[in-house]
Amino acid sequence: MKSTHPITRRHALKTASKALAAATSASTLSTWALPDLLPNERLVPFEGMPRTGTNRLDWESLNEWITPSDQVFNVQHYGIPEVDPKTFSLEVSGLVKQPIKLSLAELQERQKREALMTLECSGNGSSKGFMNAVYNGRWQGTDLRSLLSECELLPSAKEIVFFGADTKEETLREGSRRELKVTVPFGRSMSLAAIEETDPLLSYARNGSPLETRNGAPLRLIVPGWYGVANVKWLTRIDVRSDRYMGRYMARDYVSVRGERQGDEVVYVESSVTKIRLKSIIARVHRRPSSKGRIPLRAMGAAWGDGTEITRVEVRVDEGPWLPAQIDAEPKSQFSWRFFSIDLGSLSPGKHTLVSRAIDAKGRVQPASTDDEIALKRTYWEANQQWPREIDLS
Amino acid sequence: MSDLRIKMLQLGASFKTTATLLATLPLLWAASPLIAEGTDEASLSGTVTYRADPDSPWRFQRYYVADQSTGALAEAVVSLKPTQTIEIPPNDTPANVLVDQENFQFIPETIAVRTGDRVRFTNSDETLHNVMLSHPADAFNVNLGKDEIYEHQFKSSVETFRPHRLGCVYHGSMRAWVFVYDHPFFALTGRDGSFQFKNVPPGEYQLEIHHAAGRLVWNETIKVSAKDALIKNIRLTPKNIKKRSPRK
Ligand SMILES: [Cu+2]
Repeated sequence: MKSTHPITRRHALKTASKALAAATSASTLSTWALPDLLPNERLVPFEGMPRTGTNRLDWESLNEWITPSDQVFNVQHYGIPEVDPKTFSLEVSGLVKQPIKLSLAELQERQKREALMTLECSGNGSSKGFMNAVYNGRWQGTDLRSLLSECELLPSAKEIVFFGADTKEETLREGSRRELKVTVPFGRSMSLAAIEETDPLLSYARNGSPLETRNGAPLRLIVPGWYGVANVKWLTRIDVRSDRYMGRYMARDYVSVRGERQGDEVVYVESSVTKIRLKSIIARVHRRPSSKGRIPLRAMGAAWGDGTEITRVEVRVDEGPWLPAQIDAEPKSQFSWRFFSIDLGSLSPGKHTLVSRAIDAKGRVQPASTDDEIALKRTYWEANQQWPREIDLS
Repeated sequence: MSDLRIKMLQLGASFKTTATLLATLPLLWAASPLIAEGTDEASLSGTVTYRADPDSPWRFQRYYVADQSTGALAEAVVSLKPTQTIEIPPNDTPANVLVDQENFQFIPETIAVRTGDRVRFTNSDETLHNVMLSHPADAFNVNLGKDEIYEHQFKSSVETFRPHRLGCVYHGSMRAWVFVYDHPFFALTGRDGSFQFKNVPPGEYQLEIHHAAGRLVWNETIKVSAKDALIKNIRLTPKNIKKRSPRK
């Protein structure tokens, strides 16, 4: 098949090497876990934190690199549609020479690929009531770029829009004389350049099982390194366009409003939520029996981001110095979280604050809530601020 | 419930309605009087414990089992479901139950009430919360700012295995369960895992246990004869963990 678009050129090679990488990783990663409590250890509960229910990541029992299904979150804005996998089809329309419609069976017959990825809601970390919306999974599906190549994008193609089966009546300019009500499907878009960079997956299974309805069955987009909202669930149509798509979840919501310093001035800039921002969190703190009035402690947690190598994780006790944590060498996959642990020595009885921060290969440091990046942010998305943990060692 | 025709008992000897709740719920803000017992009626008491199995961990254990040596299970709802017609006294002294929102959590998370009881929701956080329930007879969706109050009188009963699930629209991980009964034979276990029913009319019942937050379920048929003083100590294990529906 002849193609008119550069998306085809590098594609075949890359896909083959990725398939191989996925096949080798699957066998080596399955048994790994964060260390369990030792016989002489006790879990130190975090102070002032709500309990963690089902379908939320339970940080304090985190020990599996791949998150179990009953700790996987789901967030949706237009409800959870029931899509019949028998009648389901994925349509590619718009600026293509060869529009296509594929059944689920036809998608499953295409070359299989896996993507290991930590998926985080961009609102995760915005409050104590919303800090468990992240999980790591192994996604199975087929390649988006090769499908687009087969459809032969026209030279004018620049923007790819992903529409879900979920729809809702939206009200624009509510309360004004120009109020407009319109029923729209959920949609998110990506530039062709971003698709080249992230190499998304059309995914119909997670961890070897068909997707759950609440997580987008029968088909969802998986964009490694991008926040959850970009990973469109119940995906039914891919529309190729020349101009920017400005749906609610591109242009009105999932838009961060952030102050940037320009000399003495703070200028507010609105930007669409895309790549996952560098983040870490302490998941568990273990204490051992006290000795000479002090309590030996160790802490462990997870760090993740947009796929840039995480080079350091540091932990601080109260207002002390930042101490280097050990980042586990394995398992390792570019878009999956890394687990870390640190021996904190012995602490005095009483209340303490522990906090972690991640640093990546580009030199980016996970911000504190008082740093401009967070303090000048006026919206709750991209909540990657450090998350202090309060403990009481009495 | 279709074969259970509830005949309301008019006046006279009434039942202790909320005394079992009083023993376990520290947040009740109005007490109800203790009431005289009937003649043939029996009693049933006992404890609910959880026996852990390291091979099938139940991750909610750390919230609801304070003492690992006894395994006493807190916040489980225990109820008697009559399998034949029994006489049920009216809810003459409706209870008032408090549910606060603090640290992004409903406290308590689980309550059990009778139809006609009132539940008062409050918010102790600085953050705006919300309380919502979708149900044909008991629906509400109310925003609660700091120290604001919303009160709801529950009108319709639910099955023990299908309690109302309340949420906050702003914080998806906030949830609470309200079990509503049209009879007084229910209890919410405290930290000691105990429950007690008095003035139980003789008959056959389903003894049902549901730990909604921890997803544990248990039930058994029991026969209650006149003047019985039954003691039932129930031990739950990982086998009682409710399976998730696979595709939801
Ligand atoms: Cu809330």
